[in-house]
Amino acid sequence: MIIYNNSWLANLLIREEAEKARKAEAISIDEQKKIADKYPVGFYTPNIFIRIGLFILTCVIVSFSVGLLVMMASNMDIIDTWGFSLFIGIITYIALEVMIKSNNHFKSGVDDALIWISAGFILTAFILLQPNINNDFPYSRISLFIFLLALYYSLRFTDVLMTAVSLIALIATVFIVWKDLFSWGMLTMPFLIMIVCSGVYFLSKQGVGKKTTIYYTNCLLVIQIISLLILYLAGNYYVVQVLSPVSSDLTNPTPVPFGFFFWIWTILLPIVYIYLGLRRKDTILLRTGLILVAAAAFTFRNYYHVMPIEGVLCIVGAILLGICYWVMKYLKPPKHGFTYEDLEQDNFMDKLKVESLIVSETFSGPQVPADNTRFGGGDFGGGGASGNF
Amino acid sequence: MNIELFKKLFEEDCISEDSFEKVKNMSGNTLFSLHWEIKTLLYLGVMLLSSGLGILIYKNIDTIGHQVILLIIAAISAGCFFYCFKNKKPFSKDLIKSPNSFFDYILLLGCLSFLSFVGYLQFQYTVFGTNYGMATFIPMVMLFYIAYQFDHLGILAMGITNMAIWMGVSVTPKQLLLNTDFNSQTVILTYLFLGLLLLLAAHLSTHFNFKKHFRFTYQHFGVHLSFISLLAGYFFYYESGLSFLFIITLFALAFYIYKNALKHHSFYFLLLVVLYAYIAVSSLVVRMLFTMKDDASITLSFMYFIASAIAIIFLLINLNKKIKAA
Repeated sequence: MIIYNNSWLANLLIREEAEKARKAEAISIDEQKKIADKYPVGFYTPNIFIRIGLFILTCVIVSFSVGLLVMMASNMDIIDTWGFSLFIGIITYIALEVMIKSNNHFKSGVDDALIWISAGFILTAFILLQPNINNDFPYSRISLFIFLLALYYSLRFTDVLMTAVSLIALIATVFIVWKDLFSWGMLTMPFLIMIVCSGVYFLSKQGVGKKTTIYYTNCLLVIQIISLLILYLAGNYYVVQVLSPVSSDLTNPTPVPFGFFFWIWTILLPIVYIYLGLRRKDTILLRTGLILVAAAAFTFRNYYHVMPIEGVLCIVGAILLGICYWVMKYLKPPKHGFTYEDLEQDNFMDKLKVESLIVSETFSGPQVPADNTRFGGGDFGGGGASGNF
Repeated sequence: MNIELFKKLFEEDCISEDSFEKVKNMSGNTLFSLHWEIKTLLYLGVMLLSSGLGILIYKNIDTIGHQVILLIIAAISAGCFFYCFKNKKPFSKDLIKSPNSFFDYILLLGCLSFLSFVGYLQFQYTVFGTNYGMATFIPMVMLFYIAYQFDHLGILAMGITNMAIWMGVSVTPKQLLLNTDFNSQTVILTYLFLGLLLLLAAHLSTHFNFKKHFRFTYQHFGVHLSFISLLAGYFFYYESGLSFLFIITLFALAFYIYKNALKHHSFYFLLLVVLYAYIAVSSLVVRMLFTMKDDASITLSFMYFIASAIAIIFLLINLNKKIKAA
């Protein structure tokens, strides 16, 4: 099923293990070289920046080629026909297969670009095929199609983002179908989505490390993250209330039935995630939990205004700094198998550089040239978006 | 770690018995690192606290309590700097590893609250009068001093941004592309001057071996600023002959950065130089094609883009090999 050369993929995994072992100083560089010689990998995988460059250039080539084709047809209406989209989609897909098979591209930027372009055109063709899309848009059919298409791409190219798209499309399909199927569909929706998500999570958790899924490890990890996130959202009080059929009027929402249960879910689930993450030393659970604490806090603040925003920001900021200080002190000699030290010192410098750029991007946002505007106000980094990490 | 795999490698004589033993020992007690979680939380904490304080001043600017708040901010800033000076390592011309991440972020908090403090003083009491240059010059000097003293790249980047504010422009690349209009001649020339100045700083850092690792930050801002302002200059003077002066400077600069990137094995700058030079060449070619005033010029320019993009792909692939081999 996977288009890539399987023995090379296996060798790649062996090399990664060797790299880890070398970083932990268990084996020497000579030994690592020996392993690399013994297990050759013929893929063309360039550096990340070259990959970005190749991605952009591939997009340039495809868009100008499409433009040229349209001009040669000298009929602008051709863009709106489904046949044209399908044609471009198939051509780019063939180009993708050829690039991978003959030139051994593997996550090189060229294949990334072609995956998205061909999938996009095929999807466009499918949407254009639908009769009278303007009046009633066939959401369920289209999300099912996206799910199948993305599933095919993720199985064939082991692409992580495609896996994410396919899972989200699957859950959207379940949502839409269930909504229209029964009159009480929306009432039971949170529970159905919870069941689906937890099922997906446990299946993917089971799947990691098995022989058949060995090349899909990253995809399975993404599935875990997304299913955990949606599992939380399914029971989040705000989400439930907005989607609830009882409150059809958005400006004046009424309380949700079983509100108590959903509040417990909203507040406690992130903590459960963090606890389990620490207990099982599972990075995914831990980090998802940390993100969701913020979601829980926002939900809570949306309903109960205990104090003004600036007070909350100051107090939470100070508490966070305090917690970090305490954890770092506590883990000074590593305890219970936890350490504060970064175990991968190797690319320390690179990370540092990226971090410095993030700092400057977020903290210099609201500053405006001082010439004619009033200087200060001093709300540095006020944008407040926590999406940077 | 995968014991089975290393057992197989050991049997195939890829690794020595010593190493195999080490791997076996290691897989028993792997530590779980909380490094990145804590760093993110620290970053969030500093961000929330400093923006909370900012809003606090902003809202209370005309009330009696504002002097108290001002004092609190001054105290926070002073406290942070006190902590940092107490825990700092002696100054050195090379890379100093900070004691821990907490130190880094406390330093950042100190700088941010210092900036709030100065900004507030200027707004409320106009300490520097209408001399806005002075009001931005002092924080800039302070930031550069701290960046060098404590070896903090984030604060260096903030210092560079502040320098641009001092020169009357805002320098973060995001904003550069989004909301700056390039229609004024002085803005273009200021950007260009600043960009070249930063490139010079990058060069001097390596040349005198003084904080060599600051080169990347200087060069990152310098390259974007210089190339964007050169391109902007080219389009601004599109009709006059002066435009070619800009484009020639651009190619000269591109050549310099290209050599520099190869020397330092930097994929990032190599990509930037190729893309910016590609934009410049393409604008020249399109200009040439459109002076023909022919119907075919559009078709030809489309074909040019397809062919040239393929060529650039091969160029990038080759350059990638070249850097790897070097």
